[in-house]
Amino acid sequence: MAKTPPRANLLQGTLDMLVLRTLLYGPAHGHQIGKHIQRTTNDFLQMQHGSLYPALHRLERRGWIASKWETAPDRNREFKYYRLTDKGRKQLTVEESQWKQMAEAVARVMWPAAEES
Amino acid sequence: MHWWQIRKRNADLERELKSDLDLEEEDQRDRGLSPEQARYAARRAFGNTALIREHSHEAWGVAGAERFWQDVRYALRQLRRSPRFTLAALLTLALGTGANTAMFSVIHSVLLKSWPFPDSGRLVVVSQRQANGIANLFSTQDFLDWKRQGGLLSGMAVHVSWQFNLSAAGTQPERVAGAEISHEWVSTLGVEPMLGRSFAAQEDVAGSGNFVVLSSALWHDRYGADPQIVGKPILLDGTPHTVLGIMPANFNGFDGKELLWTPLQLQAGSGVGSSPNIHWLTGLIRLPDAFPTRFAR
Repeated sequence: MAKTPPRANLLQGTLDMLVLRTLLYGPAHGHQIGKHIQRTTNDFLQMQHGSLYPALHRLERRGWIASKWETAPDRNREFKYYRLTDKGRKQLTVEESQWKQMAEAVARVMWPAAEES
Repeated sequence: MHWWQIRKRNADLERELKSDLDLEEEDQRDRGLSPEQARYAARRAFGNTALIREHSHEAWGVAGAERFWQDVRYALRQLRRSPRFTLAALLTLALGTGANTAMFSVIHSVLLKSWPFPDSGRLVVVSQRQANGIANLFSTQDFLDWKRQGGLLSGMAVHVSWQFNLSAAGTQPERVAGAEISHEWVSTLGVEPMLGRSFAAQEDVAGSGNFVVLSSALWHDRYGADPQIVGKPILLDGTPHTVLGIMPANFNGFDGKELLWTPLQLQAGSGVGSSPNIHWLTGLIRLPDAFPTRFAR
């Protein structure tokens, strides 16, 4: 997806998890979600909109997020706000534990404990 | 998804992309770029909108059809790469289809083809409904009662499949399938004998004599298609029966196997099958033209 090397390539599942986590704070529209992730990672993860919108629609199709066109509080314009559903909340905890297990496993291979080497 | 739903969803996506693109543009302008540059920067930061749309469509599963055809083409390529397997598979399919077609054509001609009688849509096979609701054939008494009562069923014809012993001096007796019929049977079916005639009402009365109508097939096989046979007797079950007529070619009665017909000559209270408990007659009526078929049920 990314052609320029400096940008980190996120796996599809990981991006889903990050989006769900972002929405845990409250409803947001696509642009806000992208900006939030970018800010929180100090620009390390720059949201490619080409992956963000398909991710949002995928999550919506699975019923983990729901969308609604609403007027922004401080503007005169409407944006498509996404929010987390109950199913999505459950899915977030599932993916979170999976990610932790994965990270643990990788760490054990990469940096084995002293007594195993 | 219906096409109007797809259109709606695409429009929604366009709207979403546009509003967020505008936001991105604002951000760029906040960073100090001119409106022109801001728009370009926003577009670049946004990425390929066409790609976004394509991926979104993919997420919506509309690309399923394209993927299907890709799979088909892939399968064909694979088949071409292994010709022997392909040949074996094709032969198996051909054999299977051939066998099925053969079976169907037999079943079709035996079971499914409609009766070769004029306007067979108006022919109705009639059965009695017993007290327990099960359909049954008619007994002699019932048939005669119906005839007397008038109405639709008084014109009913009946028949029963029968077997006869056909014999003649100097030849082997032959067992022949046929039917005993009431005199209205031939006219109800709407078929005319090609030679001679079928039974008249007076020949359908017990004691009026012994008569027979032959099928064309039997006439050719056994009597050499001799037109002089009409009016002459043949030996049926040991008794001479006068041949009254010959039915046209390919007419073999109800089940397609009947080779000759004799009149039932039903009589209440006597004769074969006259017991009220014997239900042996299959009824047949032709609906009058004005009668809608569904009411006849």
